[in-house]
Amino acid sequence: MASNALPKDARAVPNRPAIYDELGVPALADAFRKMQLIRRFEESAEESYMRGLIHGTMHLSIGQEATAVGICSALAETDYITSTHRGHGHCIGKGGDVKRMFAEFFGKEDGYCHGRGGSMHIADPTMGNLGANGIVGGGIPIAVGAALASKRLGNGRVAVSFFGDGANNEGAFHEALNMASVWTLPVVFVCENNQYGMSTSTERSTAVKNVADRAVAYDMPGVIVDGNKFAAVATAAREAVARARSGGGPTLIECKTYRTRGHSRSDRNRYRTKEEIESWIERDPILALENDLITYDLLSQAEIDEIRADVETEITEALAFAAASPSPAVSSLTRHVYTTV
Amino acid sequence: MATDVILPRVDMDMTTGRVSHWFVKAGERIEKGAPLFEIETDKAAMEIDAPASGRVQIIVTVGTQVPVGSTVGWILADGEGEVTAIASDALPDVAEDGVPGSVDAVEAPLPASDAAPESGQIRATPLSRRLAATHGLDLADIPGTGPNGRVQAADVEVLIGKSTANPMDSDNILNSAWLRQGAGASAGDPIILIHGFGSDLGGWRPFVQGVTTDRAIYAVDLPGHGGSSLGASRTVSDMANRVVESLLGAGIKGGHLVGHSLGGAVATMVAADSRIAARSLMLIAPGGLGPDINAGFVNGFAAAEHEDSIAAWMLELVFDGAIMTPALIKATVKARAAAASHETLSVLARSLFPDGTQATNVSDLLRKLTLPTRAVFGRLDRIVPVAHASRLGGMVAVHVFDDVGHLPHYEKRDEVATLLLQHIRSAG
Amino acid sequence: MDQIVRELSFAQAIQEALSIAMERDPRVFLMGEDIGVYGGAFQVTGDLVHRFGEDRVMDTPISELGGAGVAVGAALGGMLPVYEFQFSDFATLAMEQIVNQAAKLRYMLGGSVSVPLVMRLPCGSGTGAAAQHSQSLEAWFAHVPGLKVVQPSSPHDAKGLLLAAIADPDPVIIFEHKLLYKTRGAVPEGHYTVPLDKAETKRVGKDGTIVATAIMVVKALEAAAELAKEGIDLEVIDLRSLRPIDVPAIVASVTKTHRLMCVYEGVKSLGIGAEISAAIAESDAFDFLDAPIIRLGGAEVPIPYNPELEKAAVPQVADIVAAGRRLVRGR
Repeated sequence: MASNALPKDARAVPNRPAIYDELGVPALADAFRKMQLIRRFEESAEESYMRGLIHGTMHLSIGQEATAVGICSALAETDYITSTHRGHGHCIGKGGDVKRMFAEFFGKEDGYCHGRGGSMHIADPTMGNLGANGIVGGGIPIAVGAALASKRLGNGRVAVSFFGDGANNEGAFHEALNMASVWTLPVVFVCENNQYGMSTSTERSTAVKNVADRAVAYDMPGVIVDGNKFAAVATAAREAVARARSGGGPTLIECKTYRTRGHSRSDRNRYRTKEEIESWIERDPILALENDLITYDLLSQAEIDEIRADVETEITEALAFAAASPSPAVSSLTRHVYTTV
Repeated sequence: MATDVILPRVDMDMTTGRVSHWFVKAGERIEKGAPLFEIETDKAAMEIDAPASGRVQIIVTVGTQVPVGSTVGWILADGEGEVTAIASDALPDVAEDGVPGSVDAVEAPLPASDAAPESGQIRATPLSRRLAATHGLDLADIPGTGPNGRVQAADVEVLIGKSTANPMDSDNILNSAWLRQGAGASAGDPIILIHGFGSDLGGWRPFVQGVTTDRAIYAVDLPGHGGSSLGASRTVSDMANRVVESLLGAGIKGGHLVGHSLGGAVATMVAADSRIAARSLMLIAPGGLGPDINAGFVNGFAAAEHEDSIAAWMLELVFDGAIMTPALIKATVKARAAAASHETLSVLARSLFPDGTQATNVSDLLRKLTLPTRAVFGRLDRIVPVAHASRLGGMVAVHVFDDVGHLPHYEKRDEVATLLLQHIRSAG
Repeated sequence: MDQIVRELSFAQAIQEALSIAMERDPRVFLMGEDIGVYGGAFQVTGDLVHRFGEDRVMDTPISELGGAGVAVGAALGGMLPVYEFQFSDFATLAMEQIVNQAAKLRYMLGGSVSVPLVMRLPCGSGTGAAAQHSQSLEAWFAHVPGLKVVQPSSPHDAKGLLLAAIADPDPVIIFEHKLLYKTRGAVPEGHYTVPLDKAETKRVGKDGTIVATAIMVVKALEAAAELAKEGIDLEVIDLRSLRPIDVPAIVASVTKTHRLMCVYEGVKSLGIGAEISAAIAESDAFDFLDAPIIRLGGAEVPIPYNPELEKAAVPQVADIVAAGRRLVRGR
C-alpha cells in the first residue's frame, strides 16, 4: 500500500521514522485500522467462544498485531503469504474480510472455507493468502514453492511465510530456507518470535540466541526487529520485499513479540509469570502506534476514535452476518475433496 | 486335507455296523496305523487303524448303527478346523434287514433330511446359499464337495439340473479325492481309480478297504458323475482328457491306473496320454473292447430315478444279488440324487453308447501300450460280455472269475485286491 | 491423431510422457534428487535436462520434506510440478506435506484452491536394496482422501497415466515398480491419457478373478497362463488406480467368476487386498462368491537383503499358481 502522499502536515516532524513518510497517512490509517480490527476480531471471537457460539479451539495473536500488519504493509495484493495456526492477523493484514472470517469461525457456508476449515485454516487465495496452517512449519516450504512459481512465471510476486519461533526447529524450516537461498527465490521468511512454542520457551528449545542468527547458515540477511513496533516491522519488511522482488533472494526477519493470551483457549499460563505478561501488555503495539500517529502528527485523536468506532461497527455487522449465514448442507460433506468429481 | 474315517466292511455279508469303542477321545491326536476305533458286527469285533495322522473328529458315537462306508469320523491335519456339513454321510440307524429292493427298504426315510449336522453350522458359499434358496432346496440335503465339505454352487447346480447349462460347469477340473493318504514319496506312485458308468468315486471305498498298501489312492469322478460337471464331455476321449487335466491340476504326474467298465476305456486312453506317466494299467470288466454292451442296462440305469428301479438294475451288475445290500443301494441312490441327474446320464448314455453300441474301441490303442497291463473279468458279466477278453492281445494278462458278474472288485474283492498289488509290484 | 505403436521400456515411456508434457505446457517442470545431469536414480529423466534446461529439470537438495512442500507451493502458485522421489521409501520424510498439505488444502480451504501436483515414487522390492529402499507403501497414500493414487503395470499405462496425472487438477501419486522400468511394451506416440480411476481387464477368464497391482499384474498374467494349461481360466484385472478404486469393474468380474484373489506386493495385512475384499463383501457380488477370497500380499516383515529371503517376502508366480488352484479347486 505504498503511497506517495505526504503527511498531512508538510512540516517535517523531528525524529519521525522514515517509514511513516514512505507509507503516507492513508496507508498508516489503514494499518492502524487493521491492527485494531485484528484486536477486536480476536476479542470478539474469544467472547463468542466463551458464550459457546464457537466450537473447537482458536489461537489468539493479541499483542502481535504489529508484525502481521507491519509485514503486510509492504506487500501488494497479488503477493503471497502463508500463515500459521495463529493466523487471524495475517489474514486481516492481507485484506481479509472479517464477515467471512467470523462465518468460518461459526462453521458457516459463507465462511472462507465454507465451514470446512475453521480458525486454523482461514485462507483467502484471491488476496494471495494461501492459508493458515495447522502444522507448525507447514507453510514455509509452500511459500518457497509459491516464490519458485513466481520466478518461473516472471510475475514479480513475492511470497512471505509467517511462522512462529517453534517452527524454527522444524526440519521444514531449514530445508525451505536452504532451497530459497540456493535458488535465489523471492521469498521473505518472517518469524514471529512470541517466545513460547506452546509452553516451551525459545531459551529451552533453540540453540541460538536469535532465530535470525540461523540466516547465516543459509547465506541470507537475518534481521531482528521489535515486533511490537509497527514502524520497525514495516521498515524491515519494505527492505526485504524490495530485495526479493528485485531478484536479490530471501531474507529472514525475526520479529520479537509476545502473545498476551495463552497458546490456545485451553492454556492455563503455568509456564510464565503474571508480571511477564503484564510487562508486555504495557507494550501494546496498537497503543504504541496510536501514540506515534498522534505524536508525529499523522492522525488526530478524533480520527483515531473514528477508526475505532468504524471497527466496532464492522465487527458488530460481521458477527450478525456470520450468525445469519446458513450452515453447510450435510449432503455437501464430500464436496471440495477433489476439483473434479 | 482332512481324511475321512469310514466304517469299513469287514465281512462279505456285512451291510451295517456300529462303533463299539473309540480308542481316542475327540480332539486327541493319533498316529497313522494306531488303533482308532472298534466295530462290532453280528459276528465279531474288530479294531480299525487310523488311516492318517492328526487330530480326531468323531462323527458317529459309540453304539450308533450305520451303513458300511459311512463316515464315522475325520482325521484332521495340523491347523485344520473341524469338518462340518458332512454328517449327512453318516447314515444313522438304518434298518439292517430287508430284502434288496424291498418296499420297506425303499421307503425308509432318506437319511440326509434327518441328519442335521451335529456341529450345527452348514459350510456353504454365498452363491450356493443363494442358488439353494432360489430353488427351494435345503442346504442340509446337499453334500458339499468343496474343502471341508463346503457346499459350492456346483453342488447345488447338479441338483437343479443345470449342470450342462451353467458356465460354472464348464470347469474342466473333475471332482476327486484321496481315498487314502500315502505313506509319503517313498511309498511310490499313487493308485488312480476311475469308476464306471453311473457310479462315482465313492463306489471304490469298499474295494479300497481291501487293498493293503502304503501307496496313496486317488479317485476321480468322471464328467457327469459324482461331483464332476458334465461340461462339454461327450466321448470317452473327452473324459480321458479331463481326467488327465485334473490329475495334472492336482499335481499328479503319474501312477498306477485302475479302471472299471467305462472307466477301463478311459483309463486306457489316460495311459496312452503322454502328459501322464502311467506305470501300470489294470482293467476291471473294461468297456471299449467291442461294440456290444447291455443297452437295456445302460439306458435303464441311466433313466432310473427311484430307489426301487435303481436297485433292480443294480442286481444286474452282480452274479449273486445278495451282495447288493440295502445300504449299497441307498448309497447309490444318494449318490445319484446328489450328483448327475438322470438327464445327464441319459445324455451321456446316448453319446457313449449310441444305438446300444459302444462307440469307442480302445483295443487297438491297448495293443500299442507297452506298460504292464492286466484285465479282470467276471465270467457271468451281464453288462459287458466276457468274450471281449479275447480282444486284448497277447500282452495283457487276463483273469476271469467264475460266478462273478460286472463287479469283480466287489464280488471278489480280496482276490482282485491281491491281483492289483501283485500287478503294481511287478510293474516296479 | 495418427498413432504409431512401437516398443518402449517402462522408463522410456515415462520419460516420453514428461517430455511431451513439458513441450505442451511451459508450466510443467520436474523436481527431484539427481534428476538433472545424472538422469535420475533409475534413468527415467535421462537427458531431459539438456533439452529443457535446469529450470525445468531441477535438481533439489536432499530435502524430501522441503522439496515436497516447494512442489505444493509451486502448484498453488500456478506451476505444474512433477516431483520425483528417488525411492518411495523417502516419501516417508515428506508425509507431512503430502498428507497434511497437498491432500487437504483444497478441502480445508473450502474449494478455493487446487493443488495440481504429480509425485512419482519408485517402489517395490527385487533389487537387493533391503528394507529402506524396497517398500510398497501405496496403501498408506491410498488411505488419504484428497490424493489420487495410481500404479501402472505396463509402459503403455505408465505414459498414459502420467500424462493424465499432469493434466489433472489434483495431487496424483504414481507408484512405479522399479522392476518394471526395464520391461518393454507397445507405447503409442504422441499425447494420450489413461483414466486415473479405471481398472483394466488384462486377461479375460471365467473361473476366478485376480485383482493385481503393478508388477503383480505381470506375475498374475504369467500364473494365469500356467493355470490355463490345467484348465483353470482366470481373469486378471489390473487395478491401476488405488484411489479411487474401480469397484464396479471388480464387482462385475467377481459376479461373473464367483471367485476373487487379490495379489499385491505391499504387506498383506491392512492393505489393498483388505480393501478390495471388503468392497466385494459389501457389494452385490457377495451373493455370487463361491469360494473364500484369497489375499496374496507381502510377508509381515521388512524387505530382507538376502535374495532368497527377498523373493520369499513377496508373492511370486508359483505362489499365485498355487493360490489359483486353491481358489478354484479348493486345494
